[in-house]
Amino acid sequence: LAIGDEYLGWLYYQYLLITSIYVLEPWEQSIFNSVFFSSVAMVIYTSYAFVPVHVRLALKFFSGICGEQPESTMALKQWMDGMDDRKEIGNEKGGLPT
Amino acid sequence: MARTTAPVPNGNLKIQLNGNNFKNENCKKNGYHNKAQKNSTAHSAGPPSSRQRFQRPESFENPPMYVAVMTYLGFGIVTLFGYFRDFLRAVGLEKCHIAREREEQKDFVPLYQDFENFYTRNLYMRVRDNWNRPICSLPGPVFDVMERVSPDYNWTFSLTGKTIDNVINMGSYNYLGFAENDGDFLKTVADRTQQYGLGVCSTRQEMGNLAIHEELEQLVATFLGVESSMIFGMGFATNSMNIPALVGKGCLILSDELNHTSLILGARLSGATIWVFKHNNMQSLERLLREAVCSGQPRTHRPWRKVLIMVEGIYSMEGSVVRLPDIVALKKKYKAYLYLDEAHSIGAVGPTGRGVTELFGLDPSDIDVMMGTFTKSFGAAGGYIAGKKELVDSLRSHSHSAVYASAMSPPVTEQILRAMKCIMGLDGTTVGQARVHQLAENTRYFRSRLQEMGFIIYGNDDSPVVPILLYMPGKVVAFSRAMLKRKIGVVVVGFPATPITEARARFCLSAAHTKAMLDQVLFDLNELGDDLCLKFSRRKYSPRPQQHNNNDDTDFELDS
Repeated sequence: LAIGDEYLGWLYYQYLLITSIYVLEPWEQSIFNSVFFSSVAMVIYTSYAFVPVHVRLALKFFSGICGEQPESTMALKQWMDGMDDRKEIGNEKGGLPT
Repeated sequence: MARTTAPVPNGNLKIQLNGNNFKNENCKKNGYHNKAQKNSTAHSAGPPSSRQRFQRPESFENPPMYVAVMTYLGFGIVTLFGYFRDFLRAVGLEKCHIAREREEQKDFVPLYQDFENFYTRNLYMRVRDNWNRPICSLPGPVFDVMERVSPDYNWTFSLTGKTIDNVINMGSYNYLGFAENDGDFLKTVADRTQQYGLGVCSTRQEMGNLAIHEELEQLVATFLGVESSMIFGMGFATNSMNIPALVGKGCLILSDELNHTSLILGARLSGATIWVFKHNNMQSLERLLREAVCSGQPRTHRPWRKVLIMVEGIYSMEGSVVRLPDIVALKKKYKAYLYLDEAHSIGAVGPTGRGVTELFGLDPSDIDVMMGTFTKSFGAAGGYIAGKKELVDSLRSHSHSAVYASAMSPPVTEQILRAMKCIMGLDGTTVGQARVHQLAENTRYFRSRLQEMGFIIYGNDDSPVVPILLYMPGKVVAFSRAMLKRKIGVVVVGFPATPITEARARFCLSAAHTKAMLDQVLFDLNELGDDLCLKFSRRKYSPRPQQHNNNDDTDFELDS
C-alpha cells in the first residue's frame, strides 16, 4: 500500500504539472480540483444514465429504417414512441422533472 | 524544392534541401552532391575537418501533439485564474502588491491593463523565484547561490543568510573558462590597474584613447585575420550604436527572424527599411534579395543605397549556427553587405577558436562587418567591430559609441588581451588551445548523451549552447527548482523570450567543466527527465554515436 501511495503521489504531481496547476497557490488548486472533479463526476453520471438508452433507441430507429424503406412515417412514429420511453426511464432513475 | 543557385567555394559539400525543420520522425534528408562545383574549384577551401563540420545537420524536432495541446491548456487555465485574481483585486477582496493607478487616475487611460502587465502580474510573479537568483561568488564552473525564501508566494523575498555552495553552473556564458580569479593568471591585470587606474573618465574621441586600447585593437585584428578593428565598452551598445552609423534611410536591412534585441534596436534606430527572413532559411533570403534588387525602394523604385544582411554566428536561444557559406555566396551574387554578429561564437567554435568563419573555412575578408563581444568567451565586457580599414576608420568618427560612450576600462582591456593571447598561444603556453579543444569535447559529449537519453535538443551539434525543450509552464518551473535542489544552476526561458509553446532550459557548456561535473549533470537530468516526464523525443539513437555515424539523422556521406 505504501508503494501504491508513492505512485499515486507521483501521478498527482504529473497532473499538477501537465495542467500547470503547479504554479497556483494551494487554495486556487483546491478550487480548480473541485470544479474539475465535479464536472468529471457529472459527465460520468450522465453517461451512465443516458448512454445505454440512447444507444438502444438509435439501434431500434436505424434497424426500423432499414427494414421498412417506404414507411418513413411509421419509423418516425416508432422513434417518437421511443422518446416517450426515454422520458419514463429518466423518471425511474429519479431526479428529472416530468 | 529549390536549392541555392549560387556556387559555393567548398568543393565537397552536401546541400540540405529541407531547411531546418525536420517534420518526419526519422528525419529523412534529401541531399546530393553538387558535382559541378567539385570540378570547378582547383583548391579546396579549408581543412577537411571544417568541411566535415559544415555538413553536420541541425535539428528542431517537433514534440508529440499532446504536448502542444497541454501547453496551451496549461496557459489557458492559469490565464483564467489570472482574470479571477484580477477581479478579486479590483473588488478589493485581495490586497494588490503590484503597481496600480491611484484613485484620481482611474478615469484616465488605463496604464496596467495591457497583456504584458497582465502576464507579469499573474504568471511571472507566481514563479519568479527561478530567475534573478543572487549569487555570491565568481560565476565559474561552480558557484555559490544565496538562499532566499518568500512568505507571500514570490511577491517579496528575504535572504535567509545561508548560501548553497558549489552549485554547478550551467547558465553562465563562460565558454572558455576565463571567468577565473586565480592570482597568477590575473597578475598582468593587476599591473595594468596599478599603471592606468580603473576609470577612463572620457570617451575615445576626447581623452580616453589609451595605448592599451590601440594594442587590443591590433590584437583583435590579428586574431580575426582582418585589416583593422575597433573596440567598445559595452557589447549591446556595439550593435545598437554602430548599425546607425553604417546604414541609414534609403538602405535595406535583411535581418534574421531570431536576431538579438541589440541588432533589432540598432536596425530600428538607423531608420533603414527592415525586412525579416525566416530563420536560417536561404530560400526566404534569396527571395527577399531578388525582390530588393528588382523593385528597389518602396515608392520611388530607386535602387537601395545599401543592402545589409544581418545574421548571428550562433543564435543563443536555439543553439543553431548560421549557414555562412550559403549567405556569402548569396551576398556576392546580389552585391549585398554582410554583418555577422559573433557574440556567442567567437572563441567558442572553430578549430582554434576564431569563430564561424574558421568553422566553415571561409576567408574573413568575405564578411564585410565582423562584430563580436568579449563578454562570453573572454570573461570580460565590451565588444568589437572588425573589417576593412576604411570601414573601421569611418566608424571611429561616426559611431555614437565612439563619440559619446565612455572608453573601455584598463583592467577589462588587459583581461581581454591576456585571454586572447592565451587562445592564440602568444603567451607561450598551450592552455588556450587546450581550452578550445576541451570545449569542443564537452559539447560533443554532452549533446550526444542528451540525445541518447531522449530529450529534444535544438541546434547544431557544434554549438556549446544546448537548449532542452520543456514546453509546459508547470514543468519549466518544477525543473528549475528541482535542479537547484540537486545543486545545479540552470537558466530556464519561457514566453516572451521564446515562442509560447517552446519554453526551454538553456545549458551553456564551458571548457572549465570537468567530465565529472558533466556526468553529474547528466545523471540528474536523466533522473529528472524520468520524474517529470521530459523525454519527448521520438527518434532512435544508437548508443555510441561518436564511433560510427550510423544514426538515423546524423548520417552524411563524405565521398570525395
